[in-house]
Amino acid sequence: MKHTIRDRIEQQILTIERLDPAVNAFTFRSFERARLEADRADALINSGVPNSPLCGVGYGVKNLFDVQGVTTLAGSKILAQSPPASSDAVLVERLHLAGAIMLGCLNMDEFAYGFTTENSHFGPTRNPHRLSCIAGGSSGGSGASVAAGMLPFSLGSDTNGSIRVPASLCGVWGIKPTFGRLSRRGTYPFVNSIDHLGVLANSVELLSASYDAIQGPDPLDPGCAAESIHETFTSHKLGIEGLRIGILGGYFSDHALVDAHSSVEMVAKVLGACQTVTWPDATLARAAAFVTTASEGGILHLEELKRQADEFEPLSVDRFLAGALQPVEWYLKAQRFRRLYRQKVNDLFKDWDILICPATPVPAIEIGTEWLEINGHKLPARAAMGILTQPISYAGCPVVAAPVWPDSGEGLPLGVQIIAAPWREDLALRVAHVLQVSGVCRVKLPVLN
Amino acid sequence: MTVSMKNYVSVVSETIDLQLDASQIERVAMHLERTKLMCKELMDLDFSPECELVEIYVPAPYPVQLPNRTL
Repeated sequence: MKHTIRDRIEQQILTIERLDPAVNAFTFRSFERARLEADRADALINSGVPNSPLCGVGYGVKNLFDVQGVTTLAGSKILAQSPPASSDAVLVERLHLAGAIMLGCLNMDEFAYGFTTENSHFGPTRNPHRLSCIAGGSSGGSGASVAAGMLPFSLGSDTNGSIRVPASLCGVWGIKPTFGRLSRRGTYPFVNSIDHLGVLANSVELLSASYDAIQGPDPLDPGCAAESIHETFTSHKLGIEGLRIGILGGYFSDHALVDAHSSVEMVAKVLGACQTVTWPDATLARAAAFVTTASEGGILHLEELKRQADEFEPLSVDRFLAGALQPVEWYLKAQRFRRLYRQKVNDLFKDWDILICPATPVPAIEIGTEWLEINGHKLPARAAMGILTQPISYAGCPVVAAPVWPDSGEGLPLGVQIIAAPWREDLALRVAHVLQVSGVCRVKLPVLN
Repeated sequence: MTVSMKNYVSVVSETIDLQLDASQIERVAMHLERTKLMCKELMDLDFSPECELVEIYVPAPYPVQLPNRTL
């Protein structure tokens, strides 16, 4: 008997209803819309219209994307009383046109300020591979829903690591494209000068197909620099021959514990990478990213902080308050540094095509963990999970996070960042495809009841 | 945490009409102390005068060709 897309979506809805109570990835289920979109996809197929690889594929969005008829929460209860969005975000519109099927909105850290998705208003999102652990954040619902097998792919956002951290901790593929690649119109901002949108998926093919579908210029978004689409899906077959691939040492090695080192070694072996490379000014870049984030994020929410600070997430409100009060000297110096930094990073890519390093210093930690000890330094756990991703996004380079399962990880994944020069997502995805074919990087379905 | 940081938080928050109680001032000052420590090296950087902010306002895209107009 032939199965329709509607049949498949009904199965997916049952899976979400069965698994999500344990994982808590969804904050809104758009099943009626999904059924309508599934029927539309079936009609398209029956009429013989050529369809995209995403036709009939289900997905969800971090709840900072506008979805028509749904209130955009951005993880906050302050926004819960806002009117529903009047239209879809640009990327959701593009997925709709490609025939993809929206199944719901996904949990996140409030206003995207966090790496753990321990959201006090909507509950923590749990890691499907160990429910007592964090899923990572701030796109935690996006990572956990794919890892649990509830969704084949999801959209997320990444300012300092918010796609790459949950991808690493949940063991799924993630792509944070070049800064300015994708339209951000119709999403709730966090830090305008660093915010990126991207995808998490259960395979490189789906990662690539969905990334291609959401690309395109947007003259109405001043932050979108793309003037055309750089299609990646068909470039996988080119492999990695001739690519110069290095391993980041120094800062990226010093802030990684044993599982992170194991993951990088496993990936490096497949790629034949053995030379260690130093990323320029990583410590300074992390500090500059931190300061930029705090200032822009704090000022964005200053009026709400004045009116109702007690309604904010208790785990991040003090960081927002501190950011709003930061001396302007800190912010301006970070912006002056960023010019020098961009030049140094672009110079590095004259000698290298791809650089790899861990995405997180450790695998998923228990929910509620306050401190992490990394090579003799006691660091606040919630901030430290992004210590290896922050310097890369501050440069704006594209990164694919690859799911790796180190032997020492006791069943938990720890991802590797595949970093390319600005606008070379195609190279990172080619490397990702080789890693997937090798079997070293893969998505494993957890045992959940 | 230094008294001066607490004073800074207290004065600046009052200046911008952000009401903070004593415990919030304490916690926010602690955050800022930690950030200050983290970005000490950044603050110590010696920028040359031409090292301007990363993006500079441009009033309009630079014209490929000026319009050929006679008055």
